[in-house]
Amino acid sequence: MKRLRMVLVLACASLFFTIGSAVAQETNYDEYRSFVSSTAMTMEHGQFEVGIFAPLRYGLTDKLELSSHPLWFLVAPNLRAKYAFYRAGAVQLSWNSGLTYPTPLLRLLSMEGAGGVHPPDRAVPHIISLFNELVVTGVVEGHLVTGALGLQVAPRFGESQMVSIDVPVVYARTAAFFTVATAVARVEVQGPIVGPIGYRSGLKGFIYPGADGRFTIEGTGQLRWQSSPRWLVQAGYLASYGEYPFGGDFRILPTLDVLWAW
Amino acid sequence: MVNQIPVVIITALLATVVVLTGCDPFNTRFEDLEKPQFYEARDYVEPPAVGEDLLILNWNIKFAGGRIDFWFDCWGDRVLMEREEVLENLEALAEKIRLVDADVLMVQEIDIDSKRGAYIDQVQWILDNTDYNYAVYASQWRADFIPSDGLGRMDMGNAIFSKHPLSDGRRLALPQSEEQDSLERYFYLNRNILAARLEVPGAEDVEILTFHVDAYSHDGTKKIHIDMVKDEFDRLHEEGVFFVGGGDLNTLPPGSEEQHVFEDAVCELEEFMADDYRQEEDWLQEFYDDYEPAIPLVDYQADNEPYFSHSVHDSVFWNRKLDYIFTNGQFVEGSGLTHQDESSGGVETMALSDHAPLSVRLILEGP
Repeated sequence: MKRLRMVLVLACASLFFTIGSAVAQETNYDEYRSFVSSTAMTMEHGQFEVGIFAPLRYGLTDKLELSSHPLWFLVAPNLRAKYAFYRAGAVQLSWNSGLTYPTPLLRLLSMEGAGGVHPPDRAVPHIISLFNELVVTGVVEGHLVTGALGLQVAPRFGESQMVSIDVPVVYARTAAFFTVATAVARVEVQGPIVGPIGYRSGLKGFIYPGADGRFTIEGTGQLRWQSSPRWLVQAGYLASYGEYPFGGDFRILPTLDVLWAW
Repeated sequence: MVNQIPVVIITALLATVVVLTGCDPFNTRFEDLEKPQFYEARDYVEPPAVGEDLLILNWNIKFAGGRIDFWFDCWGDRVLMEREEVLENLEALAEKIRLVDADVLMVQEIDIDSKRGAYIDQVQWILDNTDYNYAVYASQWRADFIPSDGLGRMDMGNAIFSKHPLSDGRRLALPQSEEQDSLERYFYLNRNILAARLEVPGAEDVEILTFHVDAYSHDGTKKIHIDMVKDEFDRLHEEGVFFVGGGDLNTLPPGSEEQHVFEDAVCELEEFMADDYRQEEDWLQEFYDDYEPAIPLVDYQADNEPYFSHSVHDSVFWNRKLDYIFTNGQFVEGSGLTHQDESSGGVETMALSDHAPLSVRLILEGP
């Protein structure tokens, strides 16, 4: 836990320094409107973007962006809004707010036989998962450096006999369903390498006081190939270390997505 | 050529990730021969001096599930236990184990890292709450996550406990049933024979074997498992190794009066029906012919009921014998006991598991 704190403190300090140096710079924000979903940048008014696994995003105005995961929408209705509320030099601040109703999905997965991720004899309550996050992004020589602090709360209604789903990636994102809240902090960098090839890399920490597991830290690395202003292919890894109800666990998972903007 | 560079990079990256994650992402696979996990008790308990024999106890403890009505027995729908339930059941099991005070305990269906058992390492718990000092454990159902029936993480298997040191542990894989599709098989049980050498001070070493063969397969896998247990007995015997083997063979002795239509068998799903033994009449005959059983066949055939060791539901008293101990040495005559209730072992065992313990005294003199 001490090492984790040290990593987070160092990451925050370097982020502060980097973004602080970007405040004095001027930048053309329109260059950073596409394929920047995890930054504080918002999409252009009227622009759409979607991925196989990434959410469908829409620029409602130049400062307000709406997004939703279409694949999940029928079983876990969800909506997220990102509002860019402050700019200074090459730095932008945004507020991210999201709402998900995961109950139908969790009830669907509470089944006998194959696909039963949750025990069928345990009642799943109505859950409203709310997520709020402050995001800051600085443009540093064409690279986007992002830091964010967020909080997930999930009020429950009705009888609950839910049990945790003790799987990397999933546990961290559902821990708030059993506890008071999950705090999320992340830093991320993305930018060009050469020609159409770029990268995206980040570190994300989850802390969920009161859960049987204690924390999860995830590192991501992706190579991105933007074949045109409209298409982007990204592939890489997600490395996760977490403490779960059964103990610590480290995983590396492959990631792949194709994104389309119009 | 330049346009292909990103594709090459991405392919290489993915290949690296696949190699890093391996081809067994849920950690369910085993080699044919593996070393088991060795355990030691938190506090060493000085074992009593060894006499002329050792008391051997065998018990399928149903992962400290007591008589909770689980989904697979078709009597209920429970999948997971609360931590308090597991600890309460373990305490009841340990009370019986302490009372019998056997030198060697062979256990089937013991959880060490399962969501259904609140992730309690039952091998370590039993070691720390009885007079055993050493244990070996071999998984028979292991998966980091089973996406079926809400089971989640699973690690259940066989174990051998001893007051004296155990060495040279082996986990011999038994083949999987091929009744299911490949995905279901990937997450399904991988049964095994667990063996370890018991180092008895001042006496010949004894090879201890425990096993739990297939219960549900209808494709002949159960017979294959039983034959493989017998083959391992034969191999050891031919090599002059003194052994005792006990476990759950999931079939009846020759000459059993009731062989089907048990009143506590209520499963209608064919995959969970394991209650018709009419085709298995002679499957254990060679065990009785070649080795010494804890319960002599002639005693069993004279009266089956005192030796029954299993019932699916606690509303029905023990109604079939599935649990056995054999040796190529000798047992103390008349020492075999099926601990069915207070009158045969001092404790009511019906509530502790769906199997009754079986004990016998092994004379410390090899074949």
